[in-house]
Amino acid sequence: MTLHVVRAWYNRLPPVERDLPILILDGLAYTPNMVLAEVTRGSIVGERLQRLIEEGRLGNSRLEEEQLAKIRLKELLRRYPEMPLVAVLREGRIFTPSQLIEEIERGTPVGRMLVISEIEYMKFLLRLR
Amino acid sequence: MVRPNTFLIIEPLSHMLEYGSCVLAEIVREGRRPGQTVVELRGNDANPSVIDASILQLDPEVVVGIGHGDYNAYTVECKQRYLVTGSFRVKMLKDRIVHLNSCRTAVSLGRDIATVAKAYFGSLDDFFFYIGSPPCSDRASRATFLAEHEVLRALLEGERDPVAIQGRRVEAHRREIEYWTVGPGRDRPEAPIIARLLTLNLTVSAMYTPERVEATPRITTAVIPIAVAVATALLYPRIETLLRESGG
Repeated sequence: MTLHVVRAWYNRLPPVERDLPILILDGLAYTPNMVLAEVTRGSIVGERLQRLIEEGRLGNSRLEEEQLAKIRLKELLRRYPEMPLVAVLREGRIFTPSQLIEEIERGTPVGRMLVISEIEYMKFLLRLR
Repeated sequence: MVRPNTFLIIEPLSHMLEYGSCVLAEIVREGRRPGQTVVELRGNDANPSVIDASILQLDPEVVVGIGHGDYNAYTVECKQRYLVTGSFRVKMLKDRIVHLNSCRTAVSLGRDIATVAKAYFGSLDDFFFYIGSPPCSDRASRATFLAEHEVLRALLEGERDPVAIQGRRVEAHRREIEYWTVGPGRDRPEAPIIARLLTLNLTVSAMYTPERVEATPRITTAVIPIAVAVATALLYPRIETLLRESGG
């Protein structure tokens, strides 16, 4: 994968996703902005991040993927105003952003589902070219 | 023998259900064809006795309903229980195509329905939707239901193959995710949350036919959070694969 391809991937990403962490390497989370900077500099870290993108991997373990998903979801939800945002077709339950964050932190079934689907969505974003 | 081209649509309104019911009504308005009988039970009419009477009178080929649900129950207006696993009403769905847009009914109730129905469509876990704007006021409030009710759109167009209908449902989710990720909706403030809700609903989307339900493992409610991802991988095309195509 060349710098050109990484740039094309970066440009396809919605702007709002560019400063949310999407890769995790040696315990550090990297946003697309950081990935592009490292790859542009031609650093060793950039090469390794590039390889993760090529291989469609977010990190080196499921645990790392879940950590990443939780960080992203919490960052994203904090950007929304505190008002009813989401509902589910079960008992008329509704959630504000902070209530969704609580579900994620407590590891409830709703929180788990959000994390699982966030991992799938991150993999989808990785494949945008 | 069910009456071909006859549709019963259950559209409760209370407890946030208007979000889905208004989309169903729009799809019926746009999609119904000459020669079809489509009966919509809206609001207070979406109650157990009227639904029972309508099924007996119409003998519909297709029953589509929105409502709150759980593993063993589907409820209608004002959260009145309508379908329960093992109840006599499940038998009333014999030979029909049934879509319950409701949480978790695919775990147990849907399996029960699929033993008698021609096909059942539902969800293995919670079905999420966006309520940051009023029902049917914009694309955002419609998004998850537009994708889910591709099932009804396909049925109104005459499609009767359950596998093909499920394929259209999956494809509609993929289209909608693209719309909010790389399409015209991507710069809207609500886009990131809607793309995630669509991904979530697609992950738990389920379809059973009598043959298919026999061949698929039953999931116990105690292990649902972990089992959903596994079941999705086993029973349905993996979302990863589906989304890969749109990712290029």
